[in-house]
Amino acid sequence: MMIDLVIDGCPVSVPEGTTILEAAKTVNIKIPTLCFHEDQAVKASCRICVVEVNGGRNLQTACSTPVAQGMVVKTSSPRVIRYRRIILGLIFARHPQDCLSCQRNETCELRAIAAQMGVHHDEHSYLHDPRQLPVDSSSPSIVRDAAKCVLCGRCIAACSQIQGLDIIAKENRGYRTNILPAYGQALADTACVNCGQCYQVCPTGAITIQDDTWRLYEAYDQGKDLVVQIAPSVRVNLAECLGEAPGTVSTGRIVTALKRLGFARVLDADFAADLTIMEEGTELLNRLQNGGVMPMITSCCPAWIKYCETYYPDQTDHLSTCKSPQQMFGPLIKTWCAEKMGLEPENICSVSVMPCTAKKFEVQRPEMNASGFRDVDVSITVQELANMIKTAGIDFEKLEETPFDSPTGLGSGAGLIFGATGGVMEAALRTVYEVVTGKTLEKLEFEAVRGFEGIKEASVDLNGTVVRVCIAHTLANAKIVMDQVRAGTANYDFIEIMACPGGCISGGGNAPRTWAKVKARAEAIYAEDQRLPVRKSHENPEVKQVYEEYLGEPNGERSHHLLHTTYINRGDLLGPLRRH
Amino acid sequence: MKEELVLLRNRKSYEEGAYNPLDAGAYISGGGFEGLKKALGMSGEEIIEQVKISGLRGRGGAGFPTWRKFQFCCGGEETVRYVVCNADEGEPGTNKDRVLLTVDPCALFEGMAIAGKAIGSHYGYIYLRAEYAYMRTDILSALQSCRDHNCLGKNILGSGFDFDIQLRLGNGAYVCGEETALFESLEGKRGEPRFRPPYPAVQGLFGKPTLLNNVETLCNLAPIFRNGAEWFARLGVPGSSGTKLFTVSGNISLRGVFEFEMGINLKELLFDFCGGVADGRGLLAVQTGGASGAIINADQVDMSLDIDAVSASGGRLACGTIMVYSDQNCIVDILHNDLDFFREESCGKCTPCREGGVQLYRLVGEVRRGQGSIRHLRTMEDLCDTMSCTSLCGLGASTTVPVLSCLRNFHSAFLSHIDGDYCPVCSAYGGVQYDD
Repeated sequence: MMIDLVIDGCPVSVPEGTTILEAAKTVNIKIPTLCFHEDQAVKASCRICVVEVNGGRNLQTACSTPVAQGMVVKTSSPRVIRYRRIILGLIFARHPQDCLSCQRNETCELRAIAAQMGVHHDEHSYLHDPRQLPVDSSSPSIVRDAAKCVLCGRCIAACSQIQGLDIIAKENRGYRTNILPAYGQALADTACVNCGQCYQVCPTGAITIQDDTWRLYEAYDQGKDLVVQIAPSVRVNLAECLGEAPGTVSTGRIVTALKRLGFARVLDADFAADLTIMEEGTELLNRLQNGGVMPMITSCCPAWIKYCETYYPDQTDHLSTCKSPQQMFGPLIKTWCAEKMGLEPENICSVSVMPCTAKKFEVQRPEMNASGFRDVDVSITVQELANMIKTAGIDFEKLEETPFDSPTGLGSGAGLIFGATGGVMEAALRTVYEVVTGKTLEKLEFEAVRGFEGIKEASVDLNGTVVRVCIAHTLANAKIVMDQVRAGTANYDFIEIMACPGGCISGGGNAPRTWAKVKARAEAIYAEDQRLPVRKSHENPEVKQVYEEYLGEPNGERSHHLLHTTYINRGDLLGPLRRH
Repeated sequence: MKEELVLLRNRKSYEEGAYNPLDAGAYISGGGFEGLKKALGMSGEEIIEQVKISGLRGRGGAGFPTWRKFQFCCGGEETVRYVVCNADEGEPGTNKDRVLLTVDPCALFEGMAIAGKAIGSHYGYIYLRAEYAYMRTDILSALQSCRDHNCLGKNILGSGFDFDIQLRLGNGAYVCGEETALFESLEGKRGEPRFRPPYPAVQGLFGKPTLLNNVETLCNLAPIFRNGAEWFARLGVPGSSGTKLFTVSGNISLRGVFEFEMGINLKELLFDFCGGVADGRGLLAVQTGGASGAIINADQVDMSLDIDAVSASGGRLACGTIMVYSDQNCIVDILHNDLDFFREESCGKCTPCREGGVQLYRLVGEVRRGQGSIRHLRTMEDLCDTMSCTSLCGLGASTTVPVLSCLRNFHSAFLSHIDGDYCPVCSAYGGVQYDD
């Protein structure tokens, strides 16, 4: 049923159940919002979006109020503007006004609303008395500056609704209300998986990414050879951080920018993804043929791995022993690649550019030193690379394209689609199918494993053996699957799990996400796959070369040493009451 | 001036030890559950019609007509509905629900069962404030006694109607007296109000249509159905029928919980019944309706205590709290103390209430210390306007009631604090009594 109403004098007709906020958009009115996030449930707590309805004394929040027949709404009357300014003034009175040195700076939503509403300092005589709360920089991935928190609750919703974790929650009440891990623990001491989804939705500088770019400048100054690998999804995410449209592919420009920033070699982690498929696919076939622990579960996502080690430490035998592509590439760069490139391994600073905040945690895992050196020295996010490009004054949009260095600068389409949920599964199926059946796949696209459904299932016939697969993204969905695995009722052979909704393309290290943006990124990644000459991991000539020249065979002795890992029990992080 | 004991009719015998409130049998022998018996013979519409005739209005806050609340909960297809009793009596200086729950808990259960029959609900919850946790065992045993007498549970009094009540404890937050915050708390979540719509009558507790009433409102249902709606309507004054429990406290000679007909005179209550201001001092102010009530000056106390008259004075009768302040107090100090309560008890969810409360406290504090200006008063008024029009729930608006009434009724006291003359009380201490 359509509802007719009038907004700021404009007649509007919208379906029943539409909110005033959405209805206003149809007549090109942008009502300012702070706690509202298009991917989350309505909270109506910040009260910035208040509007006058039917001339009533009390104002209504546009984000939560559904339209009604004959409603008359005023979104920008002097009364509305006055109240909005007073509410903003109240927030500013307790907000540290260090915008110039804040990591969010121009991307801060609070600042944008202040600019939109034209808040003047002398309007109200509120004493500037910021909330005195310490900064928590204990986590390798996330920095929480509670003083900058406006208590919108978006981070709580992300942690709770997407990941099902509830690491942070409101504590205390009234003017002492604060968002914190339970019992005031430091973030690093909690079961936080470092996924960064809280950072993705934070409107202010209260949650930021741990900045590791200084380590790169320092290594450069020390004369280290900076060797960098670029994750599959970086090429569809970086341009967005620098103001281009979501889903803009900028592979060649990224290589150019990195060279200009002083990186000695720029390599493609798609290659390492292909290597992962060789190792993981072989491991899967071994388990299938030799009665190994089934189902086997992917191990590419460091947030998922920490989650599994914490919440399902009794189920880690299901995890593939393969390191993530980043961590496979690390030891290879400091051994075989170093030799090929003519670099001394001890002088290499191995860097990864990732869409992910949890990778910062992964590089610090003590066991990750297979080559005798740290596998990867520094992991930075897409956001941090974008910041470095900005700082260097590089006009990214107009940059020429440069190919990756070789060898290990070539990735297949299979490696590329690792960036989207279902991508690892599809890449594995492309290879496993051809290896087992000896036939060439007619249609490379496994549509059943694509898309944003929370848990996807499919089965593939490999010469009479049916392999049943499952793909889950977000840890809330992972929990559903893992409870089945634990109960022994998961009727699958191979499971892919990614912590972030939609996969790495919406990882915590990217530009702030919405589902609309993530869809554009996914389309870009699948379109790129179509375009590439090599689309199967086992057909990547550089992968063949590394096995021939150095590794021997997948799951062979050297591979096992360099490319595989072990897991630990982190159940203690849950505390004595919640440990399983 | 005499008390009119309807809800507290068993109080005297209870205090003398002659009445066991935990025994449903004792309650029944005094006419208990007669009202429920009559209601069980009626349809939901008939019950609501009787409540309408009685003129009963809510005794917890806004004085909303009870029958309309009942009616809102009846619509829709939903088969599961809840009756929730708000026993989170949190207004400072209010004790009436405690007395009702102590003296005659079965009357509450009877009222809840009548409400359940009216709206077609079979499940009742009592949300008891944390500070009353000591009553838990007594209430549970009274509930069990009612079940044993078949006044609760399956097939009540052979009528075929099922209704049972569960007791839940709060955790000490004032805001959980707000209905949606109470639901959140009942559901085991942090006690924060929800936005409306959807209204509780459509989506309340556990997402189901829910009727929420104060203890005193529900207790009134038993006598209404026992003695007849017309009898009830004759008590009190037009617009506010029945009796009202008042908690009188502060600087007054006689303190306690008393039951009077609606519409008694406040001045007579204070000076005739309660014996005037304690220690022979003069009267400075009276705050009606708890911390969120209006503060009136000594010249305004000649007023009728009924729902509409008190609302007209800028406050609300609500829970019937009468807090008396003698002239040994400073009004700015009283307001500052009130605001300390509100900045602490805001749930912290919405900006105007959380941050506005902080600023009001600070602004009044500065005036109190002689550091204020006229601009302070203007900012306070603007803030109050914003808080009352844009806050998520009633708490933000409530915070502004004492502020605005103080500014209006004691304007000169604020001005003399700004001028550095202070008030007689503050001057005796050289202006500033103590630091924060």
